[in-house]
Amino acid sequence: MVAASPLLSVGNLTVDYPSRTGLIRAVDGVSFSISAGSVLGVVGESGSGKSSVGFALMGLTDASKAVLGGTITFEGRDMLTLSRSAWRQLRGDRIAMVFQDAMATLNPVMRIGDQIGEVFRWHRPEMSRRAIRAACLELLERVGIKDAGRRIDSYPHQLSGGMRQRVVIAAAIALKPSLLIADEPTTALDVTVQAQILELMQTLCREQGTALILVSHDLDVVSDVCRDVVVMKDGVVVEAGPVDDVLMNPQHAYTQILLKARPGFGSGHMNTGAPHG
Amino acid sequence: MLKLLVSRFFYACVIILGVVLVVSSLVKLVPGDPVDVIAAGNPGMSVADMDRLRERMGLTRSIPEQFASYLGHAVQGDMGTSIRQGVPVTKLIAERLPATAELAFWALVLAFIFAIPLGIATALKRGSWLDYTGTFIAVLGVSTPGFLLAVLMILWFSIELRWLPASGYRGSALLAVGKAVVEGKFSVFWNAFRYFILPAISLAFVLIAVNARVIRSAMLEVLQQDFITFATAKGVPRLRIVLRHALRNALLPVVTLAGLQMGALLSGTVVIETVFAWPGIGRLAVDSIHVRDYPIIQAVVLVSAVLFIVLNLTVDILYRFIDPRVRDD
Repeated sequence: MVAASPLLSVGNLTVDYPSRTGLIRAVDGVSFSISAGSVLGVVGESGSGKSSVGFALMGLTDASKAVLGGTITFEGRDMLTLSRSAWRQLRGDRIAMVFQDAMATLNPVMRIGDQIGEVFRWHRPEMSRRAIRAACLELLERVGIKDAGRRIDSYPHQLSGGMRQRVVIAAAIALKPSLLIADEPTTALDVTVQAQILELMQTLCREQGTALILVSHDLDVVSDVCRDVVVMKDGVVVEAGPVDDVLMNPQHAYTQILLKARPGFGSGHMNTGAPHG
Repeated sequence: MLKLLVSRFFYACVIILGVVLVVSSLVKLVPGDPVDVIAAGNPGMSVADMDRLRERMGLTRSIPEQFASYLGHAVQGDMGTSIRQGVPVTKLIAERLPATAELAFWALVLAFIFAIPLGIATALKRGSWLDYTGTFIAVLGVSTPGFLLAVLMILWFSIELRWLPASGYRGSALLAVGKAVVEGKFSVFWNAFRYFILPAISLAFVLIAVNARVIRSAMLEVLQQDFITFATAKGVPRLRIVLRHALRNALLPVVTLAGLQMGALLSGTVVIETVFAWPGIGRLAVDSIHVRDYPIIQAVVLVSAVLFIVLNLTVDILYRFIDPRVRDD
């Protein structure tokens, strides 16, 4: 891919949710881009519109009847003009998503092997059942699930939280998408497991050249993983740029407050210039 | 699994014991006994004759004594002899139960054939004209008495159009299914089944209304779950998501409902059985109450209780197959 044309570029994106009193603007003119294989962090508090951006990129705002505006260009295609079936073909294949709560993300009455296998079944119809099962086994091993041959027939409730998130990641990366969107992927996990899952996502994305958009409220996570960061507040991008620049030298008052709110950084060197209060 | 069965069997025995106790006490509390009824039909009977009859029927013994003797016989499969007909009660019930059970079966099948698509459609199209039509049907279904619907249908389909029989029962349609499939004799099935249609619809109408509502709300809840979003994010087609991911989860609470409805249908279709002259257990019970035929009344209640318990147990066992979370508990 030519360096000049990014994998994904978002221009002046708006997301409006209908309500009784009219449309509510959750995302208001957000622009950013991400090149192939890179990692971008989208940071903000809850309600900042960061998750709405993630859902808009997946074309998952249909259910809430949200109205999208602006442009989303992915692999040279204008996503907002795609038909339903074109979206369906992209989702899970070229763009994939990992969600916050893996327990809720997995269907409780379906074996995890079947849930991963669905990705192959609907995007690679030529694959036989046996080939799909073999591919699922391989994926489970790749995401670090021990005893995959037994686990493949487990139900979600039989796995630990970390293992469930690994299963979700396995399904997401199954077809080597060029973009993976992770919406607070570690928030619901124990601290010790968080690091493992982040590490796993980074490694897998690097291995298969998948670009990663990490949506998080957690600046530490983002600064560990991402090269670039977009800081959102009230549906607007308040700051964007390389992680080091933004976190070391925050220009916007909101970024400074976010930084200050981090545990363990109350009087650190990073928040010089932050307003006292 | 075995542990569950054993403990459930124990509970079932306790419940049945309680049911028998309550029913036999209630029957005794009602003024008048079978001898009074017999005497009313035979003006020549003297008071001495009546007392002798009471003695012979065991009605002079104390209630605990009668209870113990009844239980002792019942566990051996002897539920007594009908006072009026002089026939073993077990035989009477065995004659009547299949007709009721099969009517209940067809009513429930009918209820779900209509309720499942209706529930799914109204959930998917929430707030549309379809949803409002569904609500209308539900209100209509819940508020229309079965006997009224039954009479209206008889007037229209039997008397006016002459399409379906107005009443009666011509043997099992389920057993005729085999014949129809194997020997290609569809007419054999139809000749039995057409008697089921009107009573089954009369029973099913309210169930369609209730079940469609329950399925609708269960679907709405499930469709909001994250795993539905995840399935969409995987690129799974919408129809497949609705049927495989959503419906499977939404039907879990409905299984319990179906068990309870089957129980209710098995024991209490008195009105519809009366309207359609259906030789079922409900009519047997009512007829027996009129003539104070104690053994039959007790047996009908006992059989209903046992059926309820068996159905509940079946639902519990079924849950272990359809919900893996229950299986591991």
